[in-house]
Amino acid sequence: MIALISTEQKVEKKTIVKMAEWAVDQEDAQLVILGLGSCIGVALYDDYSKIGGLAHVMLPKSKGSNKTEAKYADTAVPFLLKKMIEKGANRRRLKAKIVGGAGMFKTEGGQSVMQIGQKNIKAVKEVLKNENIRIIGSDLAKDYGRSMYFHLTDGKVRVTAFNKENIII
Amino acid sequence: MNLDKAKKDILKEIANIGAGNAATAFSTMVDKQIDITVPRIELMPITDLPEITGDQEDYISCTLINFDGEISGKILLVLEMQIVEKILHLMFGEGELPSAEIQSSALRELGNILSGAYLKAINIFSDLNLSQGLPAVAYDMAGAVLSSSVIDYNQSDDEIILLETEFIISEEKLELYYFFIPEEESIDILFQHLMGDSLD
Repeated sequence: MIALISTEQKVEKKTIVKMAEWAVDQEDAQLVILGLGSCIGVALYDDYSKIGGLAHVMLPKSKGSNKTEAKYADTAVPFLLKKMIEKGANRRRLKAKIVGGAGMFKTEGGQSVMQIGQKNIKAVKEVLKNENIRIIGSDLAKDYGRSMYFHLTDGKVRVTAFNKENIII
Repeated sequence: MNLDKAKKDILKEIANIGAGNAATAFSTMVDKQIDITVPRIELMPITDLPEITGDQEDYISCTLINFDGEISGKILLVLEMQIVEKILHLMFGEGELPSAEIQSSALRELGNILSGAYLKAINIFSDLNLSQGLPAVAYDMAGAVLSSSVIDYNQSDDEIILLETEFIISEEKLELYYFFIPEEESIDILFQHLMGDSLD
């Protein structure tokens, strides 16, 4: 009997990364953040081992003791690095793509009310620089929400938003 | 943060009084009967916030109002996008709606009126002086909007207390979500004020 559908087709394992959470996976997998507003999705990728990590960062700076490393830019990046290296990624090959940091709320006259998105962008860029990781793609700021789909087969990140064309970075 | 039954009851009472007054103001504004649900008091991780109104990819409108004074926090008025148009028609009458800018303005005003009435009732009930800031509005994916709403709270832990009421215009089958989210320190002040010495 001839199979009508190839059973060998690869299905990507999909992991949703919620606020203040993180995930690390390898090849044939997809790491996803739905609805990024002022938060930032930090995607790190090693294109040789195809190990990727994604952190859903909420705020720029931690206040010392906390159990949610991925919540803050300054703790999320070193933490994600550690987890990726444990899995076998090579630190020197890691490159970053960052998405989010929007200003969602506007008052009369179009003024953005919270500057947290901008602060997050600045903090994430700073910590990546300190860790010597180059940012090779980004879709940041402005005033709308985004979802990001990070494919670990090739390291590409698809960014979607309402009434906007999808972009691939 | 801990929330025993006595504290929960107090918050429920506050939400009831606030929402009752807000419903009256709303009813006068659109000339319809407005019902309110029994308030829900929830202690939840801040990270659950994107899903409080349903799917985090739903398209919503959210009006955000900061309040401060003796206690501070935020008020969120959330409408599903399909509802927004109907509400606007209640405000502007049937026929063509005004420009997008005026529509946003109307939604801010709606937030202003509801939260003004809500806060005023709390003010009278608790004798705490409260004032509200300028309303701001966002339309987008629920996850993106809600996650960005209380993100700047200076919390020592990762939980928030949410006072939720739904306003229902039964004739039109419209539902509006109303959230009153006091900051952590404000909750203690609120309890001290209302429970006096019985607080441990």
